[in-house]
Amino acid sequence: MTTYIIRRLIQSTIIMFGLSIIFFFMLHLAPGGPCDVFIQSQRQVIQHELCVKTLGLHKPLPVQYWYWISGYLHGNFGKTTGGQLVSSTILAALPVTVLLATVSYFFQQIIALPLGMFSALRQYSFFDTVFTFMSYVGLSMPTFWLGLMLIYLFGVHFAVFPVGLVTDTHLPVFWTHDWFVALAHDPPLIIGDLARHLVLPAITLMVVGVAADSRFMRASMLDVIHQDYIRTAKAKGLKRRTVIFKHAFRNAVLPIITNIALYLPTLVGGFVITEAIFSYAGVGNLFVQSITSHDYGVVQALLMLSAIAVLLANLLADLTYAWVDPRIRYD
Amino acid sequence: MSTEISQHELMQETHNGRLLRVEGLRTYFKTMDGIVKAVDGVSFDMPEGSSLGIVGESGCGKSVTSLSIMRLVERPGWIAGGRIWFHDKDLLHLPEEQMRQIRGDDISMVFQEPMTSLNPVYTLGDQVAEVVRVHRKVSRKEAMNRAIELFKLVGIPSPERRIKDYPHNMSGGMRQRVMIAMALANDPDLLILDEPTTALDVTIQAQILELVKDLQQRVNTAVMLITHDLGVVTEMSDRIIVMYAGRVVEDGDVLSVLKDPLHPYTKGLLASIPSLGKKNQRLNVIAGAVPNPLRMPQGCKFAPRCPYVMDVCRNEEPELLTQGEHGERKVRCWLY
Amino acid sequence: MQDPELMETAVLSDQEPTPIAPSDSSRMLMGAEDDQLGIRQLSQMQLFWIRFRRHKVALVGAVILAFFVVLAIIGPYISPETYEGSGWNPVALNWAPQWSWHYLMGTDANGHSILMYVLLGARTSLEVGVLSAFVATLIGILVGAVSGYFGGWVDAVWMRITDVFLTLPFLPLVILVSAYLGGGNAYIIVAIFGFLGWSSVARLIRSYYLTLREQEFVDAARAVGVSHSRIMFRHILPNALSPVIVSFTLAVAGFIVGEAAIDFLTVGIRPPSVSWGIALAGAQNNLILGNWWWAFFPGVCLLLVVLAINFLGDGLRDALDVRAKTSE
Repeated sequence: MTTYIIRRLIQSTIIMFGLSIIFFFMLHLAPGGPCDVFIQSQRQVIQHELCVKTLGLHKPLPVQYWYWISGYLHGNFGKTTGGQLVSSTILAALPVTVLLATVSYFFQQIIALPLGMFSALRQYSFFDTVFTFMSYVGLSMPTFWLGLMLIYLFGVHFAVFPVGLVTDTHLPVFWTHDWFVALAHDPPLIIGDLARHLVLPAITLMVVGVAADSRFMRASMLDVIHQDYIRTAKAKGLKRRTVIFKHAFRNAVLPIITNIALYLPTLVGGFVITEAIFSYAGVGNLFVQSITSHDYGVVQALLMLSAIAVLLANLLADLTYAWVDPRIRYD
Repeated sequence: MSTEISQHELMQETHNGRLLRVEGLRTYFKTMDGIVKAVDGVSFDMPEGSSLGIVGESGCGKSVTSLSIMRLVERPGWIAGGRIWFHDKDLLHLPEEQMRQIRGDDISMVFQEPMTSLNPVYTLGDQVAEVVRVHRKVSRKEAMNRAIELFKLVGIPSPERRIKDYPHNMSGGMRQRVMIAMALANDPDLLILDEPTTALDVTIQAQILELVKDLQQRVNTAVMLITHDLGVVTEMSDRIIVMYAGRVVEDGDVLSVLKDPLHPYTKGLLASIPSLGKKNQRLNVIAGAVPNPLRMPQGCKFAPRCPYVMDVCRNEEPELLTQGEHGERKVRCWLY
Repeated sequence: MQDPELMETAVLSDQEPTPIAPSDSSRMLMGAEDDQLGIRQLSQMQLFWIRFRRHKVALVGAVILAFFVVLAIIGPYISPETYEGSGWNPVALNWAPQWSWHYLMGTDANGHSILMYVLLGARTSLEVGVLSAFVATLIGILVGAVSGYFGGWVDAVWMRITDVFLTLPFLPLVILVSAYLGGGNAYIIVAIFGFLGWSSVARLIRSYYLTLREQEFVDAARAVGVSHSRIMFRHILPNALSPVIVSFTLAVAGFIVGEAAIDFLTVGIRPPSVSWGIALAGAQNNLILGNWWWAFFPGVCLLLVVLAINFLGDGLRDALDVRAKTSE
């Protein structure tokens, strides 16, 4: 097991190395280089040379790469165009994304797993047909359009939910000192405010995921309930409930674990779009903001971060799989 | 013999040590192209503690018959008609809850595929103990002890350690022993073995058959053995039923069927067994193929392959009639 | 047991080795080197049609898609206006249920009709989607074939590179690159999608090549001195075509959404080119004012096209009998 983890970590490091090269060159091979885009936005010529010097752009590319990557390895992600630390900018936005991710993912599974299971157990029924059709629609749904329609319907037409932002403008910003003070002072107000702002982005983010996961669960469950060991379980005289929840469910849910990790790169894209639509101040929104404001230091750091997250999730999924499925032992 | 026996007659017979009586069982499957009559009017009975072998080619309906007895036929299949009397209960008209209580307790079953018949995510001990706990009010610990006891019974070495293993740690032969242990857990009245050795290596096959034979003597259980291998039946059973295209074509005690097969199909089966001593003799193979279940011949289902075929065979199907002075044998053929 | 095709004769103690019925795929493989190729292929095609016709939703998908393909072709000719043309209606922002071609779906803030966006956007969407999928599939086939066929260190290196591309956060990177390259041009978008989106196809193709290269017909071809590239692309590829077709179809759907997404974030195609994503981007800022039609109609078109392609792809998957294959 330990050797397996070490091997996987080495593998991930190699992939990470490849990714860092891609991210690095993406920034430097752009027309004019990072300084040019920077200057374009600042409209100041003098700063250009300064920028070239500070970033060491007059040095050969491999040397530049070395500076850049060793900075990263020391936890130095550079500065934003506004002069702040990239790391603290990201850290400020991270809690918002974590909140959105946790809540939407939790509800996604709560809805998707039973839906898929129920549909599989009633294969070819009316419910199953409707479910299959709806899951197609969900999978084909362009996230940003869904977001817009939700904003119009529930934010404008019926006006039941606020559109955009994490917290109300007259309340303190989420996850700051003031916010915690306010939370301690009046929890229902603060939590309620947070929840109302969370509903629409979370739904937007969930729809595709619910469709994908429930379809996967349905297929997995259908596969499992036709296995010989389910027939054995029935032949033992077990109750239908026991057959389904003890014998079928556990086997059916196993492949979902790997599925989670496989879909993560797509999920990252979903966050970017959703947060951008709702001006939800998480890292996805930060990413889009940084691109429009040509703040490529932040962009690079976010790309690296998401890649690390994906790799770690993959590793974690494999380990979890090994933990829950007795057939798998890595050595 | 006709399949319409009055309820009264039947009840009397059940008291005469009858364990199982299958009457005109019909199990159909719905396919894209029509209805497949996998089992079409099968009747037979089994006394308590007896051993019966059901033989036939794949697709003749022998496995479906056994699944019908357990009422485990899955969609798109369904039991279209007939009766299955077990002791004095009609299994086909029992509420599902009562049927569930019979499964794994009074009637248990061992399937063909030991490699896939055990749940991969639970330990062997858990799976054996589970069947005990469903039907008996015992503690977890007691159930586990019973599992260990059963493992010993079916000859699994170091059972105390083995109950903590998962199926993938075991070979096919060992897994089939576990399946047998599971089936014997509640001392069933009827044990159905559906091709229990087909998926195993030849040497392991012999061991498993030896085990079953041994257990048959030690625990007084009626055994229904389903196989395509005539040789296995000869070894294991007292009585034999030959099935062809969803029907019983011959029924009798093993010795007389082997000595003097009546149905041309049974003759064909026996002739296709290679015998030692006749080394250079060419093997006899039954010509032709099993008819397409969607386009069954009108008369006798075996007529297209039968060497003794007559005109009547093609038009009208013979009934399963009693033969011999003592009436112990039955055959479905116009020749008799 | 219930399958009539699986019934064999003389199972009982038949000592001669029973011929094993070849599976669908192996029959196809044998067919590739068979004199009866023509007949076999016909029956394969027939089989395909029978399976495909059974898939009702796939037929519906095909019809919807056909509608949009027609729209993409004739759209510019029946559109009430072009983007360059000044707004037909001087009164900006209108949802007028009166029966006029121009008003049919309302107008945007410049008085352009939304119908114009719908009609002209169809071409952009399908063009970018199909071309990107084409480029990505082509690169994917090339990488997957070379990796799977040669194996060894070639495979190891290419698969690590593929891993890198699989781990890339696709959409953010596309956003970044098209922001860099200035977007604007549909062909730049195609190049970006193609270059960044090939990795899953490569994985898939590789897994097929790994099994197919062990088949007898490959050995046979090698024995008579057929060149590697010919074996790879003339002998093996036709046998791996089904998964390619399916993944191509689904990739088209993915890229269509991707294109709309980057247009929506205003880093993709720019006016005076017209796309559904551009319409949605414009609509976003006016939604608060209640201008739902601006976003609704282009979005519905987008959803319908993607839905149709997904229906079609699933139908093809069933009809071509492509089972989910996992590598590693």
